[in-house]
Formats: sequence, C-alpha cells, structure tokens
Amino acid sequence: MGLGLLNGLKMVEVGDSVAVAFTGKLLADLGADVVTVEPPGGGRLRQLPPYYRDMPGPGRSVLHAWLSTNKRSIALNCEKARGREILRELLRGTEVLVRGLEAGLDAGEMQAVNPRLSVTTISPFGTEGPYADYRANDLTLFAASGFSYYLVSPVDDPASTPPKQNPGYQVGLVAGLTAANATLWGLMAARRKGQGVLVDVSEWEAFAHLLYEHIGWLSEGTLASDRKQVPGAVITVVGGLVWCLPCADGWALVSPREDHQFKQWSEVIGAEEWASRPEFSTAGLREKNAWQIFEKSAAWTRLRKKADVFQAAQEKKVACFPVSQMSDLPELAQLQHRAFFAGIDHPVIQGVKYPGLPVQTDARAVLPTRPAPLPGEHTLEICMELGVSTEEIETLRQLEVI
Amino acid sequence: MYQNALEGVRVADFSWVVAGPFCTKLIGLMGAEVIKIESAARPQYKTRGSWFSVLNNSKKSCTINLSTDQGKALARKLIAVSDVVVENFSTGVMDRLGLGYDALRSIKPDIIYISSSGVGRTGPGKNYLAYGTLLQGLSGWTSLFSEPNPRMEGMGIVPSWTDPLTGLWEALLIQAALLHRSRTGEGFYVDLSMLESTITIMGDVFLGVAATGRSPVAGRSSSHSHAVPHGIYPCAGTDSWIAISVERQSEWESFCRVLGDPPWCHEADMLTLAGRQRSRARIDRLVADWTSEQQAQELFHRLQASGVPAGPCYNFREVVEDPQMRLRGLYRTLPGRDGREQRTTGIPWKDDTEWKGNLTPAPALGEHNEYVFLELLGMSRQEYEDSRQAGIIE
Repeated sequence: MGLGLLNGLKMVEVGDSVAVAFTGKLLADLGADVVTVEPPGGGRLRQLPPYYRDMPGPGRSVLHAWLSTNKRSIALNCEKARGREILRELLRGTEVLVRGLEAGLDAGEMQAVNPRLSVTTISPFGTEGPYADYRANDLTLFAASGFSYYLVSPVDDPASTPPKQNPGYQVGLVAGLTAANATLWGLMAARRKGQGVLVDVSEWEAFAHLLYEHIGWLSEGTLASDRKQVPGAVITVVGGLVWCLPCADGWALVSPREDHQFKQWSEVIGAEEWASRPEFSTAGLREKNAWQIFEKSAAWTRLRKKADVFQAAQEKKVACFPVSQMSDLPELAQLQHRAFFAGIDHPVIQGVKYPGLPVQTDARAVLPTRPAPLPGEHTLEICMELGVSTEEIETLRQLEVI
Repeated sequence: MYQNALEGVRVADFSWVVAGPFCTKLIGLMGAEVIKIESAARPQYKTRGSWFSVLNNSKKSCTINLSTDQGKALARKLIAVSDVVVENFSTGVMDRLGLGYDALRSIKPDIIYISSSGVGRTGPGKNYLAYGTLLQGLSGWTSLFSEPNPRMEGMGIVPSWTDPLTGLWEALLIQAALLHRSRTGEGFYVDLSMLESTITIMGDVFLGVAATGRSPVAGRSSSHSHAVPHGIYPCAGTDSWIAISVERQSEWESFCRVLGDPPWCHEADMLTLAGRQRSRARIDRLVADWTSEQQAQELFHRLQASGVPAGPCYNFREVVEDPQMRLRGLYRTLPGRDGREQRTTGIPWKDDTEWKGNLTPAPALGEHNEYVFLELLGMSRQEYEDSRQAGIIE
C-alpha cells in the first residue's frame, strides 16, 4: 500500500545498505518520487537473501523486492564523468539525497550543484569521530547497542548464557525508520533555512536510542550492574507484571497489571477468592507473590488451548495474547481483515505477500503499490526528464555510462 | 533557529504510557509545541517514574477532567487551536469523549489525527486490550530469541521493542501529514497498529519464512549468516563478550593476521568461504578459545584497525560512556525537579552543528495550566479558578 502524503517530493537514493533502502522505501511508500541510483546491472541489495523459493538468481531477492517498492531505478556508472554529470543533473531538480557513506559521494559537491539539496548520510557509527571508518553489520551493531546483552538479562548464569544475536536486519530497519524521520525533519529545516541541511544518521545511535528505560534507570541509580537473576523475581516492564503461561498447545502472555484487571483475571481462571487475599491486594504485593499467581494461573491455562485462553481473557478485558511463530502471522484474523500482508505484482516473485505500512486511513488516500523496479528500468524515462537527447542516450548506452 | 523545523506546530497530546509519548517527545525536540492533556486521577501521571522524565521532555502539561462536559469542551477548544492530535486510548474512548476524528474535523477541518492502538481501530480485534510487551509475543518477535519459558528468560520481552518502534512510526506519519497539509491544506487521519508497526520492522525475517518455508533458528543471526566466523564470543573478564562477523575474503585474511596467523588458518578448508562454512563449528570453537584470553575493548579496536567488522557486547553504562557515543551527543543531562540531574536523550541524529533537539525537562503535572487556559484559550482568571474549584481543571 502507498499513501500520497509526500506527492511532489523528489528524492534520490544512493547506497546499498538495508538502512538506506528502507529509508527510501518508506518515503516512496508515503508518496515521494524516489529515484534509486544503481550501478549498471543493479546494486548489491539485489543479491541479498532471502530468495524466492530459496534459489538465488536475477530478480529473486525477496528482500530487494520488498525494500524497493514504489521506487524508480536509474542505472548509472558514476565512475565515468558523464555518469557523474547526469547524477548532478538529477540532483539539481531534487530536494533530498539519501546516501550511504559507502556510496562515496561528496555531500559538499552535491550541494554545490543544488544549494537547496538536503543530504541524509547513513553510516554505522556516524560520519565523524574515532569510529567513522569502522566496519559493522547488524550483528555487531546489535551487540554494541546493548540489545544483545539485555535480551538475556537477567539470567541465572551469565557466564554460560551468551548475549543474544540479532534475528535479521533490525538495526538497518530501525535506522531506516529513524533516517526517514530525520530526512523529513531535514527537509522542513532546509525550507526554513532557505538552503539544504546535512543530516548524519548513525545506525548504532538510532538503535541504542530505543533503550529509553535504561537511561531512566541510570538516572535514578537502579540500572542493574550485571545480568544476574534475583531469585524469585519476575519480569516487570513499564511498571506492569507480565506472565508467560503454558497452554495445551503453546504459550500465552498475560498482563493483568492494574487492580481491576487482576480481579478480572482471577475471575477468568476461577480464583475469585484472590480478591480477599491480602498478599495480592496491591501491584507491589502481587509482584512479590508473582510465582503463586503463576502456579494457579498455569494450572488453568495448561488445560486450555492458547487461543481459548486469549479469548477468555480478552472477553474480560484482560490484556492477553498467544505467543506466535512467524509462520502464524498470515493466519491472524486481525491482520487479514486489515489486509496487512499484500501481494505485489512482480515479474519473477509470484504469490509472496509482503508486510505493508502499519496504518489504515481514508481509502481515498491509499495508492496502489508499484513493484520494485528492474535494474535501470527507468533510466530512459529519467534521462528524458533531464533533457538528455535520445541520440545521446543511445551513445551513453554504448559507452556503458547508463 | 532553523533546526526547530516544527516551530509553530501545536500538538494536543492525549497519549500516555510509552508509544505516544516516545513520538511526541521527538516531535517536541523538532520544535513543535506539545501539550500533554493529563489527569490527576491516573497513577502514571502522578508518580512520573524514571522513564517518564525520558519520554516527556520538551512538552507542556495541562490537566483536564475529561469525564466532565466542561472538561470535554475545554479539550475541544484546545484542539481547535492545535494542528495535531495524538492519542492511544482504547478503541472508542475518544469517540465517547466527543473527541474522535469525525467530531474534531467539524471544529478543525485540517486536523492531523494520529490514533495508535494495539492491533488497529478496525477488524475483529479492535477492542483487544494490549500492551507493547504482549504484542512482542503476538508479533513473533519473541519466537526469534528463545522458546517461551515461565521466567521469560532470553525471550525478547525485554528490552521494550514494540512501544518505541510505534513512536518512531507515529513521528514519521505526523511529519509526512504536515508536509501534505502544507501542500494541500488538508488534514489526515491515521489508524496505526502497534502489532503491524512491529511486524514491518521484522519484514526481512517474515519474508525469509514466507519465501523459503524455513523458520529462523532462535537466537541466531540470519543477516550475514553466510559469514564465518559470525557470532558472539567470550572475552577475558566477567561476562565480557565480543561480536565478530567476517564476510569478505579480505576480512578473513585480516582476521587471521590479528589472530597471529596460527597454522589452522592456513588449512585447505580455511582458504575459501565455502570451506569455512563447512568448518563453522570448529572455527567457532577456535575463535572462542582465542577471544576468551583477549580484552573485549582492546580486541574491538584491534580488529577494526585491521578492517574486520566487530562490536563490543555493551551493557548500557558502556554504551553511554563510549567515546564515539559521547561524540554523537545522544545522551543529555538536564536539571531534575528534585535537585538531582536527570539523564535523557536528545534527537537520534545530527546535523553539522551541535544541535540535538529543542530539549527541556519533562513538565510537572499541570505545570502549564495557566499558559494553556489563560493565555491560549483566553479564559478569565475567575473562570480558571472556578474550573479548578469544580475539578474540571485538575
């Protein structure tokens, strides 16, 4: 799905990281005219797994197909002088450039072409400082952000429990979402300033920024000094107790964190007597006696399917959901109703449904999704928009500039 | 100051807990005037715990008793002079208060309305009671780390994930809607699902399952999984670890040099990526033996100096104290109300100045009542005092 919020905004994307591609995808899905500049033959992203039916080959990267919706592609050899000139021409009529640091473009040179151009640069650690040239990927940035450590904290034995690895490109995707925010901020800041601004997004900083609780704990002196589990403790998140309960066919998470919710939960599981038990009378006491509550709750849930536990709890206005596997998601009725996963017409990849924008709005604002472009699919169209003559286009093709 | 790009934009912020406040803080950092509409009756607003001060910088606070007709009328007056409404109540609450999108459009036709909820405002689940942490389970996020277990050890329940992601999505949509309004003069309504916000940020993993039929291995990185070595290895000292990922041939050769070129690096199987992939388990053991005698921080820099992707496995204190992160300036210190300094975050990007957002301390409950009701809404002092007495302004 696309939305037309950014119609009229022209943007150029150069780079081959997931973060750069996701930034461009988000702005394209929101309606911007995003031109992705690729080397002849296509960028590195086109080679990345997962592949359609698990077989690599041209046009088979499902990751690329997802990250490139609604974009146009120009295949341009920027190593050649005329290729670089065409890029400059392209930027002359563009308000925003999103680039990966690895793309090697000089932001100052690009702004010299168009002083109103704002440039968002995305890199692992930022463009300046002692780590500016350090190499990284999702695994190493996930670890350096603190996520690996806190995903397994607390545990009984930290020494034998390594920090967790990232599942996929979550650092790149969060950095892309952050960079899309930063880019629109940069655009509005530039309009106020009357000239383009430089925006510097560090994937590492963007990801560490998510740990909002930890900075609060650091302030109040309650940040744990190690990963060691306190005996008997349960997990509390944002002041609310959560229990993970075994069911006959899986697990369910439940969080009756407020007094009235706890009363409702006790009714769900037939433990109405809890209402008169002093040891459960406040949230603090329930936290202290959480394992008692777990045992009684689990005795009830073990006999029931997770979907039944979930329905029974929600009917009583208690927050509860089954624990899903990724493969369960297309079956969730709520997601089906909102058509969250949708197919995209693609020349190679057939029958795959992709996650969309997480929103519903007035149907009149929704636009159809254009599939990921073939490498250089729009080269001719864009060159003509830039006023390059058809004769020269043919020559440039022969010279492998485009 | 051009960096206050949203100066002149006013946000009526009905959101609470995490996701909405995470968003409106960012919007406030960008220069918008964010006015929290709070209630003395809600414990969260009264207690204002540690994370409250992190998520509510750069905002004003007023208190309105929305259960009274006069309170609802005040809220409508405030919205009439605002540009954006953000809310994350249960489905139907804002409608019942007369503050739903359709009702507000009649008093402010170009209002931008961001309505965020657990699984969306439409569909069979629209009335589900949800918290971000539980949606981490429903979305499949927790399945990527560990089997479920009663203690939720290593499950991905913590750190909080769905809530801050939702906040980032909301901030993006507000900015896009503001640009749309400046071009067309039209408002916009967004029904944002926290569940969907989470799944899209796992889109690569979901598509891997959809396209290949294979489920990911819990706790194993699937990006760059062809790299060898690729993992988290123990270092000298207590609970000290390093992430190393060697993908390219040149990186492998550099890695071997840092290792001191031991004979096993030159065995036939080690010379190609395919051979190293076949020997992954053995390489992991040999690398772990070596790293366990190295200091993580020193090794991180040594590997990076040789062009090998590596990252220390930081705890949060180490993140904050890292020299590069200090240079980024993400973490800021503000004077707290109790005399102690309050740590918080600035905007998570930089421009070419030292600017990190229009950062001010989180407001006290109702701190800006006089500004909002007297100055902004033009109440007389007598009306204001009467409303306070009547419990309409709490």
